[in-house]
Amino acid sequence: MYLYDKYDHKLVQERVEQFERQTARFITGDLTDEQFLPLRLQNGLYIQRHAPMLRIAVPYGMLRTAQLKKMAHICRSYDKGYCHITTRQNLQLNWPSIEDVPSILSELAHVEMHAIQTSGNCIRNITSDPFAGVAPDEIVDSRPYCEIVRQWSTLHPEFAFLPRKFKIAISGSSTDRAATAFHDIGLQLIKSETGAVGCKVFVGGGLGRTPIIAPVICDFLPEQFLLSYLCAILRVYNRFGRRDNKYKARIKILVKEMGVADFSQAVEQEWQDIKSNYSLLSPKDITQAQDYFSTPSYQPIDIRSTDAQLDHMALKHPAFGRWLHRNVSHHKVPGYRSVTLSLKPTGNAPGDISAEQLETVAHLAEHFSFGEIRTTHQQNIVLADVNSNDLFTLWQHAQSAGFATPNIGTLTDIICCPGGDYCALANAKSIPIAEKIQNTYDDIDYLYDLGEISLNISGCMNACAHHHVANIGILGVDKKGKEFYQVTLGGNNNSRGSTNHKPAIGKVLGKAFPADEIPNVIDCVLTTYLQHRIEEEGFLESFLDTYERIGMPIFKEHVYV
Amino acid sequence: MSKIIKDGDIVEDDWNYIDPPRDFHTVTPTTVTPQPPCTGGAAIPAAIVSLDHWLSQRTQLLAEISPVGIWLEGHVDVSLVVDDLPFFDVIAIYFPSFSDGRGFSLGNQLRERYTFQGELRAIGNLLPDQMYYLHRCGFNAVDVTNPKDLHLAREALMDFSNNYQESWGEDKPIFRRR
Ligand code: SF4
Repeated sequence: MYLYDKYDHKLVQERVEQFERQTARFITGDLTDEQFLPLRLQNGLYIQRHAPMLRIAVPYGMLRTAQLKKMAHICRSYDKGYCHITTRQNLQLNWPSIEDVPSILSELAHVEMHAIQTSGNCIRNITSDPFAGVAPDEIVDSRPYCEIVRQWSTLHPEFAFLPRKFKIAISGSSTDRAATAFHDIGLQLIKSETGAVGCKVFVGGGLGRTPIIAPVICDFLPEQFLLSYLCAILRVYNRFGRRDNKYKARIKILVKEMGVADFSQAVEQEWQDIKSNYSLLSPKDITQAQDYFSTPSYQPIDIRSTDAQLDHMALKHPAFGRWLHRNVSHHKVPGYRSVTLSLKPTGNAPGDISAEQLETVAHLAEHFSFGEIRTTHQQNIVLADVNSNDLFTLWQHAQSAGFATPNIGTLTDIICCPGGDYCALANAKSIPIAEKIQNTYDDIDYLYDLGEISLNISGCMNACAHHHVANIGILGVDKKGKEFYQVTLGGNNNSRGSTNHKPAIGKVLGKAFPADEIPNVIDCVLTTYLQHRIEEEGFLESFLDTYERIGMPIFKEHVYV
Repeated sequence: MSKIIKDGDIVEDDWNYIDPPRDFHTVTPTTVTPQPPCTGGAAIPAAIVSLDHWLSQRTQLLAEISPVGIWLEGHVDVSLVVDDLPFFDVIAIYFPSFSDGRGFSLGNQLRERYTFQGELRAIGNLLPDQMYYLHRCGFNAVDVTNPKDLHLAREALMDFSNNYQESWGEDKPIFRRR
């Protein structure tokens, strides 16, 4: 994975010092709240409902053991002993004190971490596929491109005061596991007929108040032009994006108001003007970036005997078999697998991870996955490079640490925002709803019978949990000061391998429900699905299949009787 | 006369403003009104005029003011003045609020695309903390909002010693320097 050199170290260190000075000026009153706001946000510091919140960047979700250990230490020394994995692959501390933040940032800098641009109206942390570099369906490894864009966007002088936040996702596989169509810019790396690498560029997708599936503005951008093209898009947005209304300030609104054709034209023109002045990414530059992500020293594995052994153990230990089926995925190197550690056991706030657990994960990664860890959009953790011969031992360890709940991709693998328990913007709590659902559906056989299904819960329209693109979305709304929940069905962000479905935004089921009715409603929706599900060519329909076939009215009828 | 930061130093600002931005802080001491035409009065020294003024009284201003500058808002369409750029010794870009980053893009465009060589000055509501970014977007002069921020602002020019991106004054991105 990417390791800092002297330039990165210096830059992060100088950033820490700069923020120390800014915090001191704020504390002495030399900076007003309003002036300090963009400065602290661009260093990841929010003021939350109960305490400040510090969001720490995990560039495209990649971490290594020393970083996890440092996080464990920080959780214990500066917070309440745990942190949270966000849907954008970052880490969040919920209870630091403002005065401690410069020290936390300084500790993070020692392990090549920071909180730069994790918030504020700037280019945020780049997100990607947690299986980048190991997925069997990979076309181009996205990590080198993520790193190139990370560096380009970090402290970019022109784009630190945009109309609104700006999120970029990059994926390089045939299945889009990075939800590129729902980002301000989504880049899908592809190869041309001649084998040249480039990307398909999506602009103006997003969720929030106005969910939009991003249109494509360029079908094939040759890789050497990546940075000048990004610059052109950002410049058009920075100059012409709306600043009069926060809710209309995202690039998706600009694209919509200008029209895709005119917007693309404006970008094209800006790009033509700047591209000759801009350094191209030469093959040498790309190779240099690729070299940061060297292939681990994989061992030769006798696949036949290993697979036979796995089958045997799966029969002997059904729980292991279920885990293999749900939490373990294929790897491009024969004999290796990727393992997802579930942070969604019953009773755990989705994505929360304690200091002890961070250390356990670090330990597991050291022993079983070349010391690397990835965080996922679904708020779980991936050990990407596990030797199949180690799977059983790893499973035993994961089980005793509480990471082996075999529910990846199932109903209880809920994506949930911090909601009303933490977030100042919330209309309603989200974690208790997730807990209720997890408690109701803790019967593994029933979960498996339901099959692939996604359920996301956001505490308000900001949609941090991406409820619009879940098969079942739950949104907290405020009705005369009371917490209610709106349910949507049929969303899909194409991030769970369901390649036969297009990205879709869920439709509202009907009027909102109070919290205590939600379990019933979910039950009703699921029963309707099971009643109507059909089997075709030996395959049972997934929830999304059935929903798309029978449509919303039938679900409505059953729920609102 | 007020002080500004120019090329890294704190200096007296020897420019006046004609029709400055409405809430512009240096308005009071240095604003001048252009003479009515044909008064034969002395030429007005160094003045920065508004775009409206420039567009409506270009010939007269050229005759009466020397040297001349213009101030622009961040969203302005540069093509309106693109042919006039050689006349300007100064282009000032007005930031109505420190969170309004349009001027950063305009600065870059003027330097990169229109190869403007004169003084590029940031005016308006700015934080000293933005100095470093301003400099990298081609601004070599800044009129800070609050005179007590002058020293802080000058120091902030040295917040960082290296950068990832190519930018004005730094022609190679990091991946070419490693
Ligand atoms: S969705 Fe709303 S409540 Fe939930 S974290 Fe985001 S802003 Fe807060």
